[in-house]
Amino acid sequence: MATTFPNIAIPGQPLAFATSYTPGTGVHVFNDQICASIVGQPQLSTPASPSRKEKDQEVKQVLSVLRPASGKSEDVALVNLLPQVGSMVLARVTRINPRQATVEIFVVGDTVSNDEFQGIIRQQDVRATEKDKVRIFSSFRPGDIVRAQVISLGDQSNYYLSTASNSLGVVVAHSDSGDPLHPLNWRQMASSRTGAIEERKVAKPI
Amino acid sequence: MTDRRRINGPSEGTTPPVFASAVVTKPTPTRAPDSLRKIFLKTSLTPPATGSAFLELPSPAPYPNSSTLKITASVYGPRPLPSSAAFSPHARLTAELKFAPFSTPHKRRGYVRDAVERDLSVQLQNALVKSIKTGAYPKSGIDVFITVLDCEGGLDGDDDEGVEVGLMGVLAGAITCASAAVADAGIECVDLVSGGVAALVKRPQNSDAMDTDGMNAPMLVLDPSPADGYQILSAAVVGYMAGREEVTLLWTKGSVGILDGEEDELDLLMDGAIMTATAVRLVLNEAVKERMLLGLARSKGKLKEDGGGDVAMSS
Repeated sequence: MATTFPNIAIPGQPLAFATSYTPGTGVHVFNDQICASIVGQPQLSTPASPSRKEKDQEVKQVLSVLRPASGKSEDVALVNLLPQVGSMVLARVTRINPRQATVEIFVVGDTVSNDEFQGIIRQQDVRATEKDKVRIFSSFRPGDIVRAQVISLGDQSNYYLSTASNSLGVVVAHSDSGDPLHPLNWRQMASSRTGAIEERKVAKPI
Repeated sequence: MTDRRRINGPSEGTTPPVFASAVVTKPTPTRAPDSLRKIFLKTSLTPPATGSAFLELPSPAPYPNSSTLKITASVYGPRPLPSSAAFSPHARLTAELKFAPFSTPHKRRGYVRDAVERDLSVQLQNALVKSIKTGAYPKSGIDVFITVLDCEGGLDGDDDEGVEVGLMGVLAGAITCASAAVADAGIECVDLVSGGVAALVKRPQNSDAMDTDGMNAPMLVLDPSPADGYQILSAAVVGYMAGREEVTLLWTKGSVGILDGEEDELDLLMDGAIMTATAVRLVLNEAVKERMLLGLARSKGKLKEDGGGDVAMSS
């Protein structure tokens, strides 16, 4: 078990036998060996919550290869950030129609991505209850920033997003006259200048 | 009577000028047939790209200032596909190889993609795609752009001079360079691909005691350059994943047969090309590590100013 790993692993380099560790990120298994997939530092970590089945056995450590954050210049965002099913994203509403809102995803997880991914929030994915009474026009407006969750990789051009949770929905919005809005409750926001109330599917402030 | 209104030529004619015939000396090879040229390979030189690399091969020794092989590769992605593209659960890899207009010494190349570039692009794409874990990047595109800045002279084969290896050298360099750029971009791949060229050449006449018939067998040369001056009978280029011992691309030129009823020339060529690719892989390994080590050193705050020296290999 006491294997020494190279300081920097390169793609295709065998690191350990697949029986010794659980493969993590940045590695793949080939010929019963865990091999690196990216250039980076091999690291061992203990799995956070071993499932009940594994508790009886010896818990294997997870072997991953990580890119050091400073490997590239700071202005380039980390790569490999594609929206996956379940990832939390921030998106800008670009256009709406009665059935869906089209958005541009610009933050995946905690990272601003280099490219914008197109996604849609369908009418039935806006909230969890009373789905048939949802009106897109009273949930989103173009220009709003929405926190959402990816529920499907979708069709050829769109990721499918959902805001069916208390913490999901509009986080930044402006009124018709351009004033910033602040949340009142889960379905209303008020202008900070005039106090005029507009309807949104509001995310619960953290 | 002389005509005064016109300028006439001399009445008794002239002899055309005779220039001293330019003695076209074919260069004589100076490298040992199994020695490779030194490789310069550096990554992360194109700031806007996700990953990039630059590769340079020096020209053979007698002409230190003649043209060399210079290739840049930049990788963009994984990035979203255009909305017109169909859904794909894998990443779509596109490779595009372009010769710079000034890349060939005596002939300017056009800007429009020609058949040669299209052919090399497809081969490069085939060589690379097997190394990349495309399944990890659904609905996205990975774009590899190769620009050949300088391609050591000939691309147009002289028919009487044997097979032309310039294009093969370009392809092998492009594969190595692109793989370095892919690794630099942090794209998951199962192995790195390196390119290697080998050729069977006519044995030089003046080489020691080769007059007897049996000694006319062709000679295997690793990493041949068009400027070496060999008369090349056949050549092969491979894309090779040394970690998995897998050939991703094979391209041969020239007539390949059986030597003396014994050795298969194709085997000889492939083994030679794989040997070259394996040696090139060592340089590739060091080059992709270099940037990472530099980053590590910087994060630890003990980077010396002379850090980041080039990776060169003599073999």
